[in-house]
Amino acid sequence: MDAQVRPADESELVDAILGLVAAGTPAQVSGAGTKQGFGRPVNAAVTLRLDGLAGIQAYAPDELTLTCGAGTPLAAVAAALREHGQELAFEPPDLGPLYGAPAGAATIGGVLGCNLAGSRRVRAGGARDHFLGFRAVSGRGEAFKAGGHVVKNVTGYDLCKLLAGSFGTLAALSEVTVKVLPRAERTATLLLPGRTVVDAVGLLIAAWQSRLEPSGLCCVPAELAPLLPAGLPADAGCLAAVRFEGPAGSVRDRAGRMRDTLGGASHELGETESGAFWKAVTDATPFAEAAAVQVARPLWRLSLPPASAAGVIQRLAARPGGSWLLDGSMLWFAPAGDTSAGDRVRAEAAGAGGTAMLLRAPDSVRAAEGVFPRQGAGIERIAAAIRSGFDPEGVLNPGRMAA
Amino acid sequence: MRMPEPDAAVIAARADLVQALRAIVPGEGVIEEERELLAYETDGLTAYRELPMLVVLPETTEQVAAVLKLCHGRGVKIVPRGAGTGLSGGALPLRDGVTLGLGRFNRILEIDYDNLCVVTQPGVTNLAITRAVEDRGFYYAPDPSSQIACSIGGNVAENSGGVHCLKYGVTTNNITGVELVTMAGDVLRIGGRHPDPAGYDLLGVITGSEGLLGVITEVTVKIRPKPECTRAALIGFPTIRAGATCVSRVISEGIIPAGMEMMDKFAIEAAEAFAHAGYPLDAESLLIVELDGTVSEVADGMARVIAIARECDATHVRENADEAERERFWSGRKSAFPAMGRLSPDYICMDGTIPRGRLPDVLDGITALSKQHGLRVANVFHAGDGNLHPLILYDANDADQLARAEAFGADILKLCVAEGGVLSGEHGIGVEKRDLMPAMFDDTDLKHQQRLKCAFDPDGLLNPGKMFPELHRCAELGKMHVHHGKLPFPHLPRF
Repeated sequence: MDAQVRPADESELVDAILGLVAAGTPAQVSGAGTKQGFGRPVNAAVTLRLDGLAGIQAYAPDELTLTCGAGTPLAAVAAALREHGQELAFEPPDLGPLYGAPAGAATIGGVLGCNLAGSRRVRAGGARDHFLGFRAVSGRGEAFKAGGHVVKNVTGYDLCKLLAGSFGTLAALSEVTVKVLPRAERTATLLLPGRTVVDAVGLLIAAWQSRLEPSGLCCVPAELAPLLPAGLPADAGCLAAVRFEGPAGSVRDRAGRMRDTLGGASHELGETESGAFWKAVTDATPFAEAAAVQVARPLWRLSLPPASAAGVIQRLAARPGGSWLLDGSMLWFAPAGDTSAGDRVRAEAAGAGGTAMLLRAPDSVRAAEGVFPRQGAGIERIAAAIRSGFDPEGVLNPGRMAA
Repeated sequence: MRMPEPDAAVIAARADLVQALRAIVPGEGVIEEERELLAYETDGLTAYRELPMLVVLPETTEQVAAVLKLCHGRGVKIVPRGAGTGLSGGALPLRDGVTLGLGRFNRILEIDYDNLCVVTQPGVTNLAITRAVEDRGFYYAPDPSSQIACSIGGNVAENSGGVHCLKYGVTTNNITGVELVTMAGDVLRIGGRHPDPAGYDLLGVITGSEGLLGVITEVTVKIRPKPECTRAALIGFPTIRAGATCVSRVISEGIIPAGMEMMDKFAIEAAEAFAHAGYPLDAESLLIVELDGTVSEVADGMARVIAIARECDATHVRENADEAERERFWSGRKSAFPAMGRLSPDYICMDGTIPRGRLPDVLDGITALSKQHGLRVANVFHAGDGNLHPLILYDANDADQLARAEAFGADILKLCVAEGGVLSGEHGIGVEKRDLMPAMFDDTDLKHQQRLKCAFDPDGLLNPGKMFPELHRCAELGKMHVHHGKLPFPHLPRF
């Protein structure tokens, strides 16, 4: 059985990483281990678990900041925030079920390390935008800090951005400080069914450009609609969904005006249904159905300039058997089982000016194809130099991002 | 100001460098005459001046790349410069360095409404971006007070903020791509018109890197639909503490204002004398609270803000009756700096951020320091995000006053850090706060930051002398002092 190291505090984390360096043994770095299938497979006999570094250390609701151990469960953070009517505005998704892991187990460090945000990305920004400060131990076995405990700070390089989305390849986070924001009093969702893809994406962009401040914009093909928990009409064509959040009167006003502007048939989801619907979109739940079967099925996530999405969807979905879900700028795509899909998806994303990531596939496929898009020699040289500066011996998640 | 030792060999080869640079940037793009170089001797932090060895003003990315490659090959230092409005001395020249000005990169390249972005050259001013899209009802959100003059490239380098950043974020939250030229002359395109490109977030680390990592030659910024309605209230309080309590209560009750600015009595009086904004002169602290959004939401929110203010003993409450009055409310705040210029020959503006709840105590501390250093101070702050801008008044012709002003400023920033805050909220470190970095970061922290620098500019030729009190050699930073197999870790499982 693989060895597991689970430090209980930062000094144990330092010892653990120095131990890895001394032994010349790389480790797989994880929080609760819910997204081990995300990124290239790591060839390491040791797992360095950070979920022992848990607990909320400081939470000042009127400062809009929270500091906690990096291994603190997201659920615990969300519960503490809810007591004060606040939340993590980037709407962290729970992707564990996509990989066959249980729901609700993810840690805040894992979500930041993977830079994951949900449907509110269109309005509130990504995980990176809410990451204010950290303490961490680099692959050199040295504890260091960056950022701060306040919402506005330009002191030194913004290493929070560097660590967000670095998949544990530079340093193991021990403590994080995040920006928190008030939770909206009310949520409503406008559903516009029976559209073509072009029409639906056009509606989403019109909503995005409007002054009505939508906080979620998604487009669902008819075949996925039944998988979303809102009793959606399963008629032909796609469904566009626009979310509004805020004070009750404002939400009613904005949703009503958007319905009048966009025209056509529409339904409105209330508070509870909206919550379930957007959670399913954020977590990409339709692709987690029958996880045991689907874990082997490749799943891509594209980040696109929003206006290009309709064309990309039409071309990718031209071959039958694939399914997709558009959440703001982010397109989920599960191709039918043809082996050439990877090149096609990458080419489509690049052609549209975006990028594609192989979010899920069997280990052998991820090892061979890579997960992250290539970025050109100049950028890759700098990325490699950053990594060797922070983790010269390559003990933290070697191979997870670049081969 | 202590700067890196000038390289005599580089200065001796100046004439030859001029010739080589002219081969890349023809005509008047290479400046060598002293009287012309004088225009570049300082930036918005006028306390420090140095004549650059040369100034070069390229017009294309290819020219920038060729200039950097040439200087890289010859070991010549580069100081990038946008509009020269920065307040931390980030564009302070080097006697043996070439100041690379981006002022000729002054075109907006594309307005892409469908993708809600603008692709622009870096020398375009912040305000010009909003001007270019406002007829279609859009704007670029970060709005530093210098927005009429400061360039978007400089905003990226400094990660600039503004009065609306509590709700809309600073520069880093509002850009999606850059073109960057490294010191070696490589042209990198990072990001694009989409969020969160995979891989290390180089866009995120370049933003706010103060010209130490690369030269920005193109920026893609997000634009937003202009809010339907904007309203402001002017609220006076009998004490600083009452104003600070009001700010905290507004946020605790779930309202995130578009802007929430605070001024102390000295700043109120100076601004009112200068701008006649209608500020209450009997107030000890003054808040401008601005809300934006849909008409109904703003009306409801403003009613709640005013109710909170009255509960916090506000003595003066005035909502704007029309757009002209709202602009008048802001005119006082936005002229706080020139208003100080009337009261004192010189001033320096500090920029610490503190946890907002510490505001009354920090202000008491600043008052005590003012007495101790014998210099006047006026306080304006972005109250919503705890970003303080104490303005220290002094006379630069009196060397002792300058020294006292610097010491006073340093004491304020150390106080901010001691109260759980940071050295800079939006102006950057530059040369101004460089030597204070150890007040916030230990040696290990700073070395990790410099490892990022080493990945971009291993020879340390880009803007040296800024941000870090001491530049370690990259070869030294790369070493790892570990004795294999000799580390004790007894309480951990062996593997």
